[in-house]
Amino acid sequence: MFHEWSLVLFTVLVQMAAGAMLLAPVASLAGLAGAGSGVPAGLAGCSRARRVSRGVALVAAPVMAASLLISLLHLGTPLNAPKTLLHLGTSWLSREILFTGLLALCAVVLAVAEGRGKGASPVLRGAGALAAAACLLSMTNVYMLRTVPAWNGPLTPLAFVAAALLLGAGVVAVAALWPHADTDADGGEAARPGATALALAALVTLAALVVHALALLAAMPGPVVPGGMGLATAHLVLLALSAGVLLAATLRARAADIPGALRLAGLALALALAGELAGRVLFFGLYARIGL
Amino acid sequence: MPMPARPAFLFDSRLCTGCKACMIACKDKNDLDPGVRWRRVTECTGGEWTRTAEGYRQNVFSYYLSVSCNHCEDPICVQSCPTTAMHQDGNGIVSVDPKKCVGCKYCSWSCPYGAPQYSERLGRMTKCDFCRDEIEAGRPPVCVAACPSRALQWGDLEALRGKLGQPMAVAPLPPVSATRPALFVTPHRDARPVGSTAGLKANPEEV
Amino acid sequence: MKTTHPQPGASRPSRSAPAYAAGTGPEDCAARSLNRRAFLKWCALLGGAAMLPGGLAGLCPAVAEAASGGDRQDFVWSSCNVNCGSRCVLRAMVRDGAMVRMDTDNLGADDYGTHQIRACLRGRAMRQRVYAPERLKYPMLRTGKRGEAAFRRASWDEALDVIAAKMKDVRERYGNEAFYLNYGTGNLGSVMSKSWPTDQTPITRLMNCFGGYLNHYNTYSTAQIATSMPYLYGGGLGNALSDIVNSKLVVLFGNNPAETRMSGGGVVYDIQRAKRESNVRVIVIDPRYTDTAVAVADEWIPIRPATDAALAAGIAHVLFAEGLADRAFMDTYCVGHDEAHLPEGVPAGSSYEAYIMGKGPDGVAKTPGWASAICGVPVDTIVRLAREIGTAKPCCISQGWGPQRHHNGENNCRAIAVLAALTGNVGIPGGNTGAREGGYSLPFPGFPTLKNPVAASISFFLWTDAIVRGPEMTAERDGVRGVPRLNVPVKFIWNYAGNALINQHSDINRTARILSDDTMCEMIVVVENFMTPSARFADVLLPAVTNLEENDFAHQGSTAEMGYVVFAQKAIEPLFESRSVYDMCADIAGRLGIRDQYTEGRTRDEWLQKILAAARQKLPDLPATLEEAWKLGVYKVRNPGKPFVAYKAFRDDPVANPLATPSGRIEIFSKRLWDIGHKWELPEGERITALPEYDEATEGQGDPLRKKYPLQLVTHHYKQRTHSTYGNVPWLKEAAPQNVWVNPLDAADRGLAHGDMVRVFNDRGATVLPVKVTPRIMPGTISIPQGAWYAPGAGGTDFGGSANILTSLRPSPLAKGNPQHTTLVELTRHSGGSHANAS
Repeated sequence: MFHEWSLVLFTVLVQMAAGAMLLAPVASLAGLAGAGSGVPAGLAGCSRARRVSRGVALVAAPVMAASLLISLLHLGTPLNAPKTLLHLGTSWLSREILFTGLLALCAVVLAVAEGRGKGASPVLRGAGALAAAACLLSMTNVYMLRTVPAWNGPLTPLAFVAAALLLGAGVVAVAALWPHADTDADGGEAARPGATALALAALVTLAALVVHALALLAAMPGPVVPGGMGLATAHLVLLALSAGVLLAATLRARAADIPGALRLAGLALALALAGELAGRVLFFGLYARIGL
Repeated sequence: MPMPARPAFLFDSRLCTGCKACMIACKDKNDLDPGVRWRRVTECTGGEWTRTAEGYRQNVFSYYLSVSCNHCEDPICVQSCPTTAMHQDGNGIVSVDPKKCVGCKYCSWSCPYGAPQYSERLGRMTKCDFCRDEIEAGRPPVCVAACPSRALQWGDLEALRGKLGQPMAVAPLPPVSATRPALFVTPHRDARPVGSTAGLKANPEEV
Repeated sequence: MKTTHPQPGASRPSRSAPAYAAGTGPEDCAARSLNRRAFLKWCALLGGAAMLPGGLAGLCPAVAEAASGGDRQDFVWSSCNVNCGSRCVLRAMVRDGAMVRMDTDNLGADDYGTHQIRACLRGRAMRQRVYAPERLKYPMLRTGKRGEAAFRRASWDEALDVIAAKMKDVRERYGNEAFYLNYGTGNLGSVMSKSWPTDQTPITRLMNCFGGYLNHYNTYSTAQIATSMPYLYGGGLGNALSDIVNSKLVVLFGNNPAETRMSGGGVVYDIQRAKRESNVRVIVIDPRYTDTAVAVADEWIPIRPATDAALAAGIAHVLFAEGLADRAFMDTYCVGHDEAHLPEGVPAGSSYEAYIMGKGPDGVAKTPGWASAICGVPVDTIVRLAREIGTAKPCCISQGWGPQRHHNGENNCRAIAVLAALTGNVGIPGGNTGAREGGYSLPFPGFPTLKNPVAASISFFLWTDAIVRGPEMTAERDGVRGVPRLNVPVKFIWNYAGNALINQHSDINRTARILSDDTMCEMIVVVENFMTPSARFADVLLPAVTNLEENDFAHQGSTAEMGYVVFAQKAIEPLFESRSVYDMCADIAGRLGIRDQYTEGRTRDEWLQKILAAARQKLPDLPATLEEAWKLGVYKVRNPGKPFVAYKAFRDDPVANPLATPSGRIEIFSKRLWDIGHKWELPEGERITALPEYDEATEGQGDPLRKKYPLQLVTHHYKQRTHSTYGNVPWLKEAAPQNVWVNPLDAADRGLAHGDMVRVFNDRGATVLPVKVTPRIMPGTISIPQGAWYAPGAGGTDFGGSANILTSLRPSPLAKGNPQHTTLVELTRHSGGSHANAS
């Protein structure tokens, strides 16, 4: 089996951060829309949007920092790491490293800006989302090697995008529910966008689960992976559980039990993370190149 | 032989006894650690036995492939290397710049010949450089000079193309189109076509 | 002795140094290539401008060759002196007193006949052998129980004193017949340090000066064939394999040059080249799909081990029945093929034809069906094979040494050879005798070892018996030669460059029990490079140099068309306190008061000079001095004649050139064997037959022991080692890891997958090693590459994969040889400890 624990962690964590940074603006928009129902001045919506943006940035920044450190563990000569940016012309790995770095940078700048309490500019958030998209695109291409048939199909983009969206949605859900002194003045108002975000996350998770399951089933008949069936089962069961818990959290949020919803959302995120890690171990286990 | 514009390997699989003199000559010249194998000899074996009333029947076959880096014309390792440490020079020789290599192993994932060999001791990738020092001095690479069966030869890619046509491959080698290797294989009588799974890599622990 | 040499590790090239040895570094190469480019330009100019001055342009390639290869004075010529049948040229690149690279004969032209003598992977790994951590550093004396490998360091003086004193003691109490020089082939083909033939070593000379020693005859390699073939042909010669260019068909019975004689200078290259030149059809008959089958065969016929005589009989039946036997040839050249050509005084029905057609005493026709049931080759295949053999004129029938290394090996090898006689293929180009191949060689004198005053000789295989029951051993029961019976048991063993003290002898556990009693054999002196399994059983352990640490000449190995001598120069100084064996013996001779007789006043190098002068008597254009010889490196001569054809003179004129048999003919029926068979005392169930009859071997096809141990174990020669030599070299262990070959059907019966650790066992012992599941071996047969170093763990189980923990000490009937391939075993998955438990 293809043991690359550092890369399993790295790819899943980066995808979580990237997914969250992609979804944060979407969630903010959804939050604003939801705020239209009789809430004056859109103030609450703004605060909710900021709450999500801020929570995502505060999660993404340390996750990205940790991911970069973890990625160094995979290298034989980490001191040469800066040289990995020398081959942007043809190497998707070089590009991935560039965009991962940019994403980390955006996350840190966003976190600092959010931390100052004023909120980051939409341009910065947009840049973060763009970096996240580029990061996901390049990371996907890194594994779409023409000499590795199992990876060079729909599995890689589906697995990576699904992971990014469902983990990102989980982060967004947690961020939307996280208590915060600045924005919690309006009390119960948090319930609705929180519920929306949770429902959205559950939906994304379910969709990702289906997509991922199909992609895996398509790829599995190829190389035989020891323990592969166990990993596939763990992956799908954990994601299904995660979706279920998110639905429960949505109900809690609708019932205005925000702390309860938060706990459940946190649990759902943890389950999704565990499920994705299992799926990623399997993904690397499917490695088999053509030829010798 | 003068240094060819673009060196290429010729491997006559009909003659190879799988002796691995090529592999050890390479390990000796380059002082390679255990596990680092710039040239590898794959045993490809297939066929089945059946018990019948008249005794056993079988259709067993076996042949060997000695393969190092093939210094491809479309080197996926060079394309995928993030640092440009894996590079191809004017003679088409693909080698690793030790000052640049970060040891990410990405080249070895992508190479369909398993040519880049990671050195745990050095923390970086190592590989066949076509014995650049030897061939610049007009001598054959040590693997070629070692071959007791004269199954392994070398020459200039274009000259060989003129003589032999396009490089061809047999199972379990990748299709030539994958990376366009500078490797001409003369098939063994029992060689299976590229993509065939009738023969198994019978010595996975040795390559 | 100086003790200033560094640890081997310290003298190895630094791991952090660049992978280029000095002189081939990038800068160096750039400079050289510049010079070379300039040179070639100059050549091209000359060549282009001058179609004119004849020859000048033609000279250029040769000159260019010299320029590219001849400028490397940092190489020292040496050789690989191990017992594979080949003898390869090495060139050691030396820097600051250490070998940094091992090259071979790859300079200059590669024209067949004087072609490059390219070393196999083992020779190329010589550095790791010379610099192995297992090297013996100084003399040692045993402190614990024998075999436990408990030793203390001793000075050379003390160690040699102990040996000299014990030699005198044993001679006084038992006489010289109590000294035995054990078979050892760790240094083969050299002149001053050879360990075999056993009567030609430096120790032999010492013992002959001291009053002699108990001789042995035959070898672990060839006991049955070397004994048996002279009864048929008066000798054991075969045509050169290069001669198959003249054949219409080649049938190799267990002949496997690609795995036993791997040199690019010798037989494997000879046969490949001949095959390529003529594209003659080649059939390999072997339990294994050998690498010879991979490289030169058109067809593989798998056969159950030890049943070659049955297959040969089945083939003979078709030949006789279908009129394909060459009666005209047999009537002129053979004895005993039919009833009309039997020797005097032999009952009717004793001919081979009678035996085959069911008219002999057993009344059983040896039909293809009869043969198939025994040998496992389908009937239609036997019939087709017989017709091919009977109609291809000429046909080369050849055998290796596997078919004979059985309990019934004497008859196996003779039965194969008789096929050549039945088809009239003896003594002609493109034919063969059915023996193993011959070739071309140069005469080269050896180190004179004087004459052994002791006449008694035992089979090389019965030395453990001679320890236990020497005085009971007789000519007619144990094959003692020279005397009717032994007088004394073996009390003193010299074991020089050999691993047959434990690893390469049979039944390791029983041998170890015999050796561990130091009241039986009182002294074992081991002269070695490494702490081998045999070295562990020494009482006195003397560290010898490897051949890279001394000057010597290495005579060629087996080749078809080329004779050669390698002038090997010392590449590095002796490591640690190791010494040349000649010098050790001279110092022992000094302690025994026979130094002058031993040395004749010469140093080792002075002997080399004297032997070179003697060689020049026969080969006048050899170099005159050692210095010139070392510069030349290797002297090659192409066979000036045609490929060797065995017994050609006999074929041309059988009356003028009779064979060295009593009748002067090919004795298919041997009256001598008839007499022996009636005279010798043999154990129940054993026979010595005048005809090459199929006899079921002990632990063969029909042995009831098969119910308990259903698999027949054979052993093959492995790329990793030459027998046990090189068995400690990491590169080679990596390239060719030890494993046991098992057919997928047998593996499936036992639930085994490729790579599983398995336990191979019988009543004699057990060994644990990984399994190679491969269709390249006959079902019911498994094969362990022989020679892996015995590594006993708890309970006596071997974890080194050493086959001889399983083999038997019961000798074959006639040759009293080793039945190494007639061993019954069973195989299970090993679930206990791993190698880590070993010793």
